[in-house]
Amino acid sequence: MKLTRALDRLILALASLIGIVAFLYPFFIPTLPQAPVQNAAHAQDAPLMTILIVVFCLGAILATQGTGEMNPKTVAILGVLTAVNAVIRAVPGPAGFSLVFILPILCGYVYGATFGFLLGALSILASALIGGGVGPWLPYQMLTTGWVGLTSSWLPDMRRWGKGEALVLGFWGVVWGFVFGLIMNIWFWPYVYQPQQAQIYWQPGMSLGQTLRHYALFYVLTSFWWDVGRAAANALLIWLFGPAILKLLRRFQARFHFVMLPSP
Amino acid sequence: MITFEHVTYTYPGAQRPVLKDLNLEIADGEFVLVVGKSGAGKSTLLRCINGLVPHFYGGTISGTIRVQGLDPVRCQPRGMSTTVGFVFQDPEAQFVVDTVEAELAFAMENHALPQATMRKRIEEVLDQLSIAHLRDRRINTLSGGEKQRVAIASVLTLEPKILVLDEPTSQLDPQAAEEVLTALQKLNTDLGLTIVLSEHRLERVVQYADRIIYLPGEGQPPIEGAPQDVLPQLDLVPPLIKLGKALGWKPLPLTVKDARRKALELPLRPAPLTERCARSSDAPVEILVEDLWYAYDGHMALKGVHLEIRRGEFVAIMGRNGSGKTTLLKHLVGLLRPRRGAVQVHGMDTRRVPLEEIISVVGYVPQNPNALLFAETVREELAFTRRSHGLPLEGGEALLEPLGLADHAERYPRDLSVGERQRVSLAAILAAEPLIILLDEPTRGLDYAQKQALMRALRAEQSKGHTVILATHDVELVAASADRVIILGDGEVVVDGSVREVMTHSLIFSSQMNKLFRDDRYLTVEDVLGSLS
Repeated sequence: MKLTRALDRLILALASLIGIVAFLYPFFIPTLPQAPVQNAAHAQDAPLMTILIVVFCLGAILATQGTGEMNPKTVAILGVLTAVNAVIRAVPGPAGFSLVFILPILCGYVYGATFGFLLGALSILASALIGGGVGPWLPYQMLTTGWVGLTSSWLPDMRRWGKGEALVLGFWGVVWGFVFGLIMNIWFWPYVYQPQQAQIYWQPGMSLGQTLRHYALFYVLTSFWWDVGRAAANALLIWLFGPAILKLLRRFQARFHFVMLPSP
Repeated sequence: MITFEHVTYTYPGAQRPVLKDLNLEIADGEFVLVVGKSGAGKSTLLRCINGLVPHFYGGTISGTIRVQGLDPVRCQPRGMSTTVGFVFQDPEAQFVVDTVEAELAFAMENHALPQATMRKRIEEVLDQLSIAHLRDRRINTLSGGEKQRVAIASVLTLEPKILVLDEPTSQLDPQAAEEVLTALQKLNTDLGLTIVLSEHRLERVVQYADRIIYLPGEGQPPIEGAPQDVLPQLDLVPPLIKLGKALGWKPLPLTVKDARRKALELPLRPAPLTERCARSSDAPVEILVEDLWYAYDGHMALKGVHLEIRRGEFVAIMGRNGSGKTTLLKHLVGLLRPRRGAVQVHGMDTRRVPLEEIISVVGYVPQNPNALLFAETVREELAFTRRSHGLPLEGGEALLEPLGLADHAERYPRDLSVGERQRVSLAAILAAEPLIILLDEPTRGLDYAQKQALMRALRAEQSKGHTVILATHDVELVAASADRVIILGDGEVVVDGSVREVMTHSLIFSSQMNKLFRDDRYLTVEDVLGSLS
């Protein structure tokens, strides 16, 4: 039991590590081909990355079977929620507004890291397949949304706080609204270079400090307002629907496990 | 062999255990009937046999359960599936695929049986439950009774040693129920299948059982024994047993046949026929159905129904499964609009008036109570109805007590037992104070005490001048409460008359007392006892 749990953690850590490497390796390639548009970004490695992440997801499901965190019942719920999340992603809204984050945040918080990661990653995959949103960005979106769910499990149990619970989760949604954008931009940013706007783009050989300055400027100028929409949507949705959804998730959670008492 | 030793089980979040230090033994080949009040733990006991409790429900369990030497807690439901066949209260809950034949094959496919074996077993179970004619039908087009037989057939394909059924006949017409029960009896005697069955309507099943296990609820130890020994100890029993108890008959007759000889010796004085039906012909017509036709995907459900129901009537609509009862009720509340013919409800033509206006006077409790339940608590469920009908919030609370729901006011409605959910949905509808109350199979999952409570509640509605219409298979209930009975057959009104006229001239839809005495005067035990000299 302890072993499979450790294995599960290892798989998630490995998947995340590979993800981080995949996001960052372009910065270490001195001959990275750059273009004024993002067409060339990760064109070579994206299919491989997608397959890797899916394999890691399956590995995480298998490794945790029979342990406390995942079992046939949680897999069933994961399946249903993944489908729901994939479908509600299609609900349109202004700027970065999206319904896709509320479930990974709440489920990661209630059901744990593995569930949260899988829900985030798999629902992005599923919605990309139904909605035709397949492209080199897909593995990076899967990873980042998976991280949204995974990190939500790090929050302490706030049940005692009553209404404060949803309030904090809403602010957590705001944080992730911006962080998601911060991370996701990187998948294409190093591949793009427009000489007339050199101060917001990266070029091979730049120092770390300069890279960060350029990126910060790029983020504020291009991504920030878009991310405001996402952050606001997260907070609003969690404050509005969070308490009801949490109640529902916990009702199911009570059924996941049973206690066998020794005979009196 | 099934053994329970010191089994205690508590549902997650529950205050008290539903099974407390339970000890039981069921021998191979027995036909055991599990009875008890709604919420006493009958379903829980059955679910322990194949491991659904605790694997599907969570909670806390202690003690030892052994089923054919297996431990359901260790084996999990999937490990028990070839040993224990489980048929649920709600057959819809256990169907996975669309057509009957595919459903029957489903379990065997999951056990990777060879195709030849699957074919053979499908043929066998189709015959065992006489559903061969349904094999190519889509499951959602079947009537409730047909669905239940398909559900039973689908678990029999794995050839279990034990068959566990949770109120399998609760939504069947008397004829279909008997078919199912005789099929079960045959499986029991011919194949030696152990059968464990829970049921509220004892009059139907008591004659088939070798033994009764009565769960008193509240964690009290069960009362077990042969039906003749257990039944005298119970308060609420079928009419025949009630009569036998009242007259001190020993041994207690379990079937009408057993009782008939003794009944003939009873000194009954010739009493005049008292007509209960107060069918005031001067009351205004509340519901008028004229030449109503309706078809589902080419299947004719209603074929030219004519009906006139006056204000304040208490009408029972009976008929075989699939005879069009539900379709007719749905027309009366405007959920279905006539394709041909017309329906007038409280002066409104349902083809022209929007649904909101119809439901302001009509309350409809559907067959599946889950369809109505969505609030967080029972109390909130009633409050929602009151709010949406623009009524003051206070009035709804008064319904909880007579329906036995006072203790459940703060519970989550969908966590309640089937019988309890049935009453919550009824309360949610009555909370709107409708002038016309339509109920589809309202006694499914109700015990005798709750049925009486329900009937009192409906009688009270009637005395306020409200019209009550219920579709039901419960013959005894109709005999004891309705004024008028309409029997539908294949989409047409076959019989329409006072309860006495109809029920005394029917083979299937007649009460136990009427079957026993074959006399127009006796429908209920009270009728008989009242005319004893």
